[in-house]
Amino acid sequence: MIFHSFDFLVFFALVLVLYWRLPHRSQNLFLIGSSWFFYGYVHWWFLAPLAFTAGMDYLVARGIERWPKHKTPLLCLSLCASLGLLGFFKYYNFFADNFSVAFRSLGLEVSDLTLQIFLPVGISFYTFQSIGYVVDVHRGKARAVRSFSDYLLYSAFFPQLVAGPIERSTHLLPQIQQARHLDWDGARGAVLLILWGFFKKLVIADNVAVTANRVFALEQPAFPVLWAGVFAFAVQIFADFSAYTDIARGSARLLGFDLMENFRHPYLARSPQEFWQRWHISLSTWFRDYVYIPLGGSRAGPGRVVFNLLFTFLLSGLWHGASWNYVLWGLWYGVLVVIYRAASAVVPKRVSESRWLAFPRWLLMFTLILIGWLLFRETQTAQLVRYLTLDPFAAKGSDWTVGGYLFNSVLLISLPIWIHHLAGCLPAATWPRIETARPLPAYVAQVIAGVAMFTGILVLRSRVTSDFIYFQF
Amino acid sequence: MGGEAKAGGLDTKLDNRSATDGARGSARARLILLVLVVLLAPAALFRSAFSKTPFDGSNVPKLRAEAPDFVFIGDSMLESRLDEAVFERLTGRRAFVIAENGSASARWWLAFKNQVVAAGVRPQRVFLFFRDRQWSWPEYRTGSQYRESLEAAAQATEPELDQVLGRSRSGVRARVDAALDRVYPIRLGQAEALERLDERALHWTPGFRQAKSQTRKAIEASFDIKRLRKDVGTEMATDDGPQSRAFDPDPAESFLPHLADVARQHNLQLCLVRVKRRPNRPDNVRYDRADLEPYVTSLREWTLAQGIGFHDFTRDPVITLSMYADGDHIAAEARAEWTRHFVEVMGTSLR
Repeated sequence: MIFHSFDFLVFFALVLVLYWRLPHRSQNLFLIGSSWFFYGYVHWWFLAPLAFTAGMDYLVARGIERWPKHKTPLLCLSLCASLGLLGFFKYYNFFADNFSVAFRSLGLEVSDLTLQIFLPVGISFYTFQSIGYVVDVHRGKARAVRSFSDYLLYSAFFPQLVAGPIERSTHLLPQIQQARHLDWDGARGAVLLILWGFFKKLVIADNVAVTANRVFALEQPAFPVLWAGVFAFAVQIFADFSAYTDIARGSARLLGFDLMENFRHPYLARSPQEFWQRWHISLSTWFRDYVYIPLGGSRAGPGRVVFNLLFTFLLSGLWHGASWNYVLWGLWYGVLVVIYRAASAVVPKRVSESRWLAFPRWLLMFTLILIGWLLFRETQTAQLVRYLTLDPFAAKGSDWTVGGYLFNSVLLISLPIWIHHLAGCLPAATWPRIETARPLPAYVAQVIAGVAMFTGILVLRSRVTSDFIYFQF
Repeated sequence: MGGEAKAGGLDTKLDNRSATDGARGSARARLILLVLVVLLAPAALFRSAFSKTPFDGSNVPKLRAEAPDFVFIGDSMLESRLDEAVFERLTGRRAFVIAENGSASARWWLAFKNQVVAAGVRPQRVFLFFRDRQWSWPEYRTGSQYRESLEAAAQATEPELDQVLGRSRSGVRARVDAALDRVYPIRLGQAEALERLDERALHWTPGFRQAKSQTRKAIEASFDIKRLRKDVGTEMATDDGPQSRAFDPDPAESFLPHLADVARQHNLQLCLVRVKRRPNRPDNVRYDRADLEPYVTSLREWTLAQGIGFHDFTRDPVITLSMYADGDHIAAEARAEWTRHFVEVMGTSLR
């Protein structure tokens, strides 16, 4: 089931009404049933890999606590099972295809090894969430859950099941185990968050997607047209993915849960490190905690640190999809982080953090982010090379006009996102302070914002709606 | 003393609880008020902003005045193919063309009923140009930017239109959609609002004010179909819409049964013309999905059984890729040639 469907609105309204009438244990059982219904709504067999991963990791975690001497083999068993399942569904064809190409280039005849595999949506998300839990139990950071139903809910909680945020066991499981209460003020914020999510998806992401798709459908776009298209994609992917997170967080909050923050105004970043502290935070911190730090993190020698960074970002790229462009995208950020770290060791802090350099640093980073999105969007390597070698001086005057028009149309429809980003420049405590000091004007502002967003959805929703981009991962 | 202290503690607890209950109550009231204002304000503020486009009956007197021998109804497929002057010269008969770009079966049904039939004319034949499965895709080109044109072709009440488009069906979704349109008439302004936004972006483009038409032409040229990637071009040329394997003559599923009924009642002869889409193979053949063939066969059988003519140009070898402009449109310079060929092929039915 997708969030921006009539089916979901009906489903969620029913869940909400029934849920708050039940006692705590029944609430959990009810949420498991609802989550399974939500996930198996289109393809019931999607539930099979989900149930397998949940059952396996529940038993492995219990086993780790019961037989501490065998905890590492048990962890390996869990990792093999989870990653094996993910690898089969997501990466089998990628490796089989590249294997065949490699053999053919050596003159060896290999039959087609690829299979018709249908990827269950959200498999990368719930697999990583489950791996995180087993590793936490293995490290002794979390206790193994006794109640199987609690673990089933942890693995399948519907608001964040399909596209995250990838929750940590230490954050979500205690909320499942404890009784929950509806915070009415929090519910107001949740309603606005859901509205903002729908606005970003239906009005911004789906409208700018039309521009991005038009540009990326061209055989040889001129330089300004291509980069206007990349800008459109940058807006689209942020609006689309953060919209999912907002709807997920808002829905969860109405059910009494608090899900982690996934985006913190990412396009304000002035360095690649900062970008990853603001973009898809639940994934970047997952890779930090479960891959980068176990590899030795930044405490090893310079060569090893470079390897750790490049390897972690390469995996992060591959997590997004079985295609070379995602590997390149991951490596791109790995290389950028390495370069920025090296530069920060040379350039004095008072220079690099000078106010005067804030704007040029932001502009440079935004340009680098756009190059990253080009790598992310274009799946065909030959076409990517063609795009990257486009000569800006070969563009005609009319090409600059068309590029300007596309840029304007994207900027105009995405204006609320940029205003929201600018608000991100204010200290984090600004809004809570206003709400406490001036509750009435703050409330009126919330009502006006709500009316504006809902009106926007009614009148400016795109003519073409599409699935959330991150569903494919 | 101890008892008083205890009682005092209980009072404080009760006070705290009632204060908490009070705070919870007002927080709940604030939430309910917010939800109500958000849901009701757009309905109340923009009630009369969007109403139905008035019926445009300008073709009715023209049809009466011209009393044509043949009427042609269709979209840009018709407009880019038939050269009216060449047709009239070759056949010596009068033709009346109702071709609206971006129209589809809903609009064609309204044009037939509210223009041709309403004019009371008796053309020898009414030709309806279509592509692939358009007769089984009634909702195609009826929403957003097509709404205005559809409304302009519709009378105040159109029971058949409502029946086929599902507005009066019992389905929950159809009812909810119709109810939303009634509660929030602002939804109907979607196409106009998006166009205005696009126009604003165009106005901000450097040089637009000095050279409006050149800017528009440059934008169109940049995204010309010839500039598309080959893989994308192939995707675009695939058969869109519901992939039905057979034509369903249920009057709730297609406008064609309604057209057949009304034509029968008024003694009008219909003829469906399936146009050849852009050839996608070097030998000028149009390659389509395999399941389109059984669909077209069932459509042909049904129409012929109803006494409606059916002509399929899809495999016509005379219509070659060189005659095409963009997409499925025929180039302006090939229109006369196409019309000559049409007259030749249709032969006796045009006499």
